[in-house]
Amino acid sequence: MPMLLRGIEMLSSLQRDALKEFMNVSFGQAASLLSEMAGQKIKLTIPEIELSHISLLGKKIEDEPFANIFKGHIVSSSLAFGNELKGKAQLVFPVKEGKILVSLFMGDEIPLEDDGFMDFSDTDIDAMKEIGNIMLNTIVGSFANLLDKQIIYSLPEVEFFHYPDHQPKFPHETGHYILLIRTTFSLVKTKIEGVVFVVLTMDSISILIKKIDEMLVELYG
Amino acid sequence: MKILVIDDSAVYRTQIIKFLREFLPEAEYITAHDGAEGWNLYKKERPEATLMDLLMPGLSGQEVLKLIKGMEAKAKAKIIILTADIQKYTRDEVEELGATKVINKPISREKAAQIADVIKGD
Repeated sequence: MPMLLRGIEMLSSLQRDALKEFMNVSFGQAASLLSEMAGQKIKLTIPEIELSHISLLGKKIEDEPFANIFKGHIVSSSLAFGNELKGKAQLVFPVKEGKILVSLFMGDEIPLEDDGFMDFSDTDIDAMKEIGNIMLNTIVGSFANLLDKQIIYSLPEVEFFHYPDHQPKFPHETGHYILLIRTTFSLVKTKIEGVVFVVLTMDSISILIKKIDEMLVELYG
Repeated sequence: MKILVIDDSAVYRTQIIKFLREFLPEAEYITAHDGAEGWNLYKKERPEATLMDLLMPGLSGQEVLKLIKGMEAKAKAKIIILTADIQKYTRDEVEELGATKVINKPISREKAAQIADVIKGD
């Protein structure tokens, strides 16, 4: 799977290559699980990874790759984690596409525009929480496994907001870097676009880079 | 045979039972929406098998597992963990606590067949 990385000047080309390969595996697993949940073949289009300071996130949301997602009504499923690795992972969809995904997950008919696309029942919210829980656990859990670190999760949360009136919440502590991952999932019958954000503290990113270095030393001596 | 399903997601409780019924149609399914309710139902109903999530409000799956094993360490009741958490630390932890089997979400027909085999003792 091709992968685009931007803004990771702090990494050497070998480190970048190792990180790309690692992300390919994590995303492949997450896409495979989404395919299972949606009961359809899912094509994972070119994901992008960007490492930058959290203070730049607001601007990045307005960049071209995210403009289609961050427009109007949005639903997000998030999972905070702590212990040896700290951060937050968040899955964001336009409400319409989130509703389609929930329908696929529950084996329901795909709703029509006139059926009240914006209406998320308690059951829909519960399903969206589980979809986020499973996908984000796969991505974050594979970080933890690679780094041989134990993380403890908070309960998953589902939130609705209208962009740009309300913006998604991310940790804003000093020193937070964001590992920003954008994915586009294409389903057979319809196209669902979503964004995955993984926010790691600087300490956690340092652990990740140190582990990549160890793997490279093992490989190349 | 009584099977207790403990998960804070109503959607997931429904999915688990829907898949399992195909392999264990005669079983009586009991559900709990969090760890505390699950623990109370376990004490009251003494199910032959319990399927349980880990990350739940109030009592976590690990805490319920400790309570069950603390009450009857040598009990034959099977405790199957069904979780989205893929960490090897988590798997090691719950296996050490006495879980019979750990399976990662999402549930599927194939995974339900595995769970049914564990419950039937195959």
